[in-house]
Amino acid sequence: MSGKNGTHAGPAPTTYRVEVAGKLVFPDASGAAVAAQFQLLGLQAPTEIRVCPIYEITGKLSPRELELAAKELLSDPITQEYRIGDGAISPAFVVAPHWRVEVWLKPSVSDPHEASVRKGIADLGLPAPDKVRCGTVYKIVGRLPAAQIEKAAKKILSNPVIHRYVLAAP
Amino acid sequence: MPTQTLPLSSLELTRATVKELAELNRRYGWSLSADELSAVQAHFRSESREPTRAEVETIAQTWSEHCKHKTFTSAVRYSDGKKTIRFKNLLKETVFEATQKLKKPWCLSVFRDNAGVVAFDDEWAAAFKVETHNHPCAIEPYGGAATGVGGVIRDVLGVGVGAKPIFGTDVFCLGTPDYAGPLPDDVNHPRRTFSGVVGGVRDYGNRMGIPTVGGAIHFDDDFRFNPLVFCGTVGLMPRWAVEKRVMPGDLIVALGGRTGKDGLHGATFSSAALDDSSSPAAVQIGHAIAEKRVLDVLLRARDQKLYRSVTDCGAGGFSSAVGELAADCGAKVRLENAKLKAADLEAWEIWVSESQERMVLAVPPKNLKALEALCASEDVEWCVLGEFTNTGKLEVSFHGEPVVGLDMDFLHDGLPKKERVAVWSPVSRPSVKKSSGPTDAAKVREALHALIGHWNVCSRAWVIRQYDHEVQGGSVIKALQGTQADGPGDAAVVWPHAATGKLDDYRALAVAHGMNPAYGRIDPYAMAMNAADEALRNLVCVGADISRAAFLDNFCWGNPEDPKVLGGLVRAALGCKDASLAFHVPFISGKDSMYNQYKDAKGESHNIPGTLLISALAPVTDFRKAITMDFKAPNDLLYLLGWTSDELGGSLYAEWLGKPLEGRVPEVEPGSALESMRALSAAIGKGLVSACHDLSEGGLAVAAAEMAFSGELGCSIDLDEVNRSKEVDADEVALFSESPSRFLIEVPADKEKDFLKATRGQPLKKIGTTLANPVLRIISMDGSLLIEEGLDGLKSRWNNRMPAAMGAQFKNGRKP
Repeated sequence: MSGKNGTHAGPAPTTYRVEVAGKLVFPDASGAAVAAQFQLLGLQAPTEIRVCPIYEITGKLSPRELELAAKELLSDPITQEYRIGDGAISPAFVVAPHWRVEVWLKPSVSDPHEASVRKGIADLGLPAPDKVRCGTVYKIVGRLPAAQIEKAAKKILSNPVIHRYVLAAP
Repeated sequence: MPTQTLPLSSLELTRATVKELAELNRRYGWSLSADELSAVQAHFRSESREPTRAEVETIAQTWSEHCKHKTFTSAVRYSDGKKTIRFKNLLKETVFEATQKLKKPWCLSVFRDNAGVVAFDDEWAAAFKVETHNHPCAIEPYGGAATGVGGVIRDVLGVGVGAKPIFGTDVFCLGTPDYAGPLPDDVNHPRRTFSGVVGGVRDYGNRMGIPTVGGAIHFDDDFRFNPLVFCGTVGLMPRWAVEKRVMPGDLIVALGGRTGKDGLHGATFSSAALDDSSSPAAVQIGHAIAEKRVLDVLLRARDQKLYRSVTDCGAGGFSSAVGELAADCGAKVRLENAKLKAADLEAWEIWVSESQERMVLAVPPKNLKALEALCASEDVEWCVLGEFTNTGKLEVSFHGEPVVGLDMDFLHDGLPKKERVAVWSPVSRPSVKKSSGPTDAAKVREALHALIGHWNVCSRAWVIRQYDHEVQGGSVIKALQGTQADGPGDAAVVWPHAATGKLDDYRALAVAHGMNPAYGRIDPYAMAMNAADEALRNLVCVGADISRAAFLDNFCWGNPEDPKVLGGLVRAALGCKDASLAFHVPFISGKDSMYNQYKDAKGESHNIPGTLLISALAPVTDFRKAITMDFKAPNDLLYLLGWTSDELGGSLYAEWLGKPLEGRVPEVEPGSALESMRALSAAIGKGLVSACHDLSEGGLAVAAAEMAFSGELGCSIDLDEVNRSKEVDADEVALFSESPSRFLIEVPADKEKDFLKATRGQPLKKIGTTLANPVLRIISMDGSLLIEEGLDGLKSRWNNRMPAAMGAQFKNGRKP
């Protein structure tokens, strides 16, 4: 492997998605806090909410290098599992039918978290990514109508001033 | 300069008509008034040239409400129907004048630097600053509060040649979290604002390793559109570091974060009312870790004397920071040297960007290498932006092309002055409660229950427990006190010697606040006097030395172009002056935030109630003698210090009765109050008092209940023993009046004689005792039993209000 910048024409930059999920044996405290907010907003109470960090990494990392970053940097092996792109699903990703709300910062917002991830990957001795974006996935379990999920997305899960969100039905 | 001139097509600023100027102002978001626009036009006409965009941006930033405090420093004609006062400069003739008259030798730097500085001991000085970040918090509560904390920490880092931040405070004014009324779509619900701002303060403070030790929260639905967020920081610095001086030839060095498009027009934003079209670019995400690294480099560089002056990049970014440092000399700046987040920034954007975590230093060229090494050791980026000169000009270029060439005189003194009009019309108000036969005990109990669980009384543990108030290891008297560590403390006491290294020194610092906008609704003058009294009361309760107390003011008001709004502001400023002089406590710094108003879709303006926060800092001679507010032992004596009058105006009880605007607002008599406070301080210093709590919102009833349930000890109080004026003929008034300058004091029986000796001549009365039985027992003026109520019930009302509304499964205290 080259590993050195610019000496070879390495692989072209690829964009990967890494999603991190808490193992199901651990209660999701921030999910519970978000669920409580649903009730205060007058929405139906979800059965459960799991909150998962998600990363979009663009750079010249090989799949193996990315795997290393996901394992060593982006997730905690004791409490969390990770999934790269559409890769194999581990138990933590098996959640009952749920609404999926992804919340991302708008591109115009500068995020120190992203800068830290980029530096963290470089500090592992891996090629520094060109770009990192950090988001949050809310997996909302329960039979909530779409309008309620929309309202929660706007009023609880994101702030339209700095975020955009993507919604996927169960 | 093809890219730098204003892209005005056929229109040029010097030739623009008044209407065209207004259009330019609107299009570029300068927030300049018509007078200011014509002053700018006249200036460039006299120079026979067109300004660049960067020049007008620089002027707009420098003249903004945020940077120039143009309301507060303007000329004002004030009349209240009886008399008219003309101020040439409102600030100089009120708050500042009091400080000058008091001439305290221990005030080392007041009203001229980024923070106020007072002497702490012979070697060390304490710097204190409280700032608001209201508008950003309205739009994005989390990010707004975090950058508010970051900003005030940099203020303390940028005072003199730098102070080490040792603790923070935070104060909020918010709508009630369970507000159920309608809200426009673009306004955050108060609950969201609340959890967001708490999160922002928590994350920035905790990550920087600066404890958040105290604060206050006032809930009122009139803050739902415009929340107020005051962030404070106290720092410690060697006394030699108080003075700063820029020399021509010094390099202009920018340190810390890179410059991006963040926060463009944040400063001018404070001059404008929030509406649907407020720009999202006003909000940034703070980076506490980056600021911590800057802090570490700066303090090491300070001690090696590598730079001569420093200031932070706040509102207006480089333009304000360089403009300020170079005010007495001049500067040459080459913007292409700035480290950028993205390559596509225009020159004016680099110049006024408000990217966070940046400081600007004046570095003698010979020290650059050493500074570079320090920066490298902490992974902090830096660049030389240019140098200070002696030309009296601010000269900025970008790749060789001139971008700004402004006279410092015009920039700093060119703002046209106009006399503003302020009016105040006093209203006479009926009494809230008159005696009408025997007291209805059930009603009193109902009121007690409502008040103890009132938003402005209930436990703040849900907030406090999110903050790290222990980091740096100096928190002596903490925000939560008592047997279960959950009682409401009056003031925080911090031992700061981790910063000085004097580990066997017991001298400490106490910090407290006073604020009650409900009084201000009736009379802002009384609000100011009461805020000063409350801040001092809180300090006295923990045993601080108020003869060395210093005040900070923060005025948050609505639209000052409305003469009635400005009239309120003037009254509050007069109150500050009178309180300062009478209590002999100088103001050392302050800040104001105007235009806290919201224009709704119908074009109707909603102003906040004018709000004055007074923050107070005082030394504690020996922290081992500091005390807390919880009852300590059964069968101790309870003394009430102070005089109770029928002063229910603006009180919680009046609000509960549905008469929030009726009654007389508590009137402070600072002369006698100061004497009482001094006597009480002396008694606490002699160890004669085991618990002390001031009477504030909810009066005697609430104070007694809080002391009792915090100490898990009951008390019995006889209202007939209360020192009171004749008009106090109803139990409710004695229980719930909010007369100022009062303290409930627990004195062990064996110390009573000495206590009475130490407080001789003061309005002091024994009103009851503490009990082993955990009940609150109140005896009516007529001798009958008015209230006997278990403490558990009272405490759970007090404890549960906030977590219930915030959806928190929150358990406080050590025991389950």
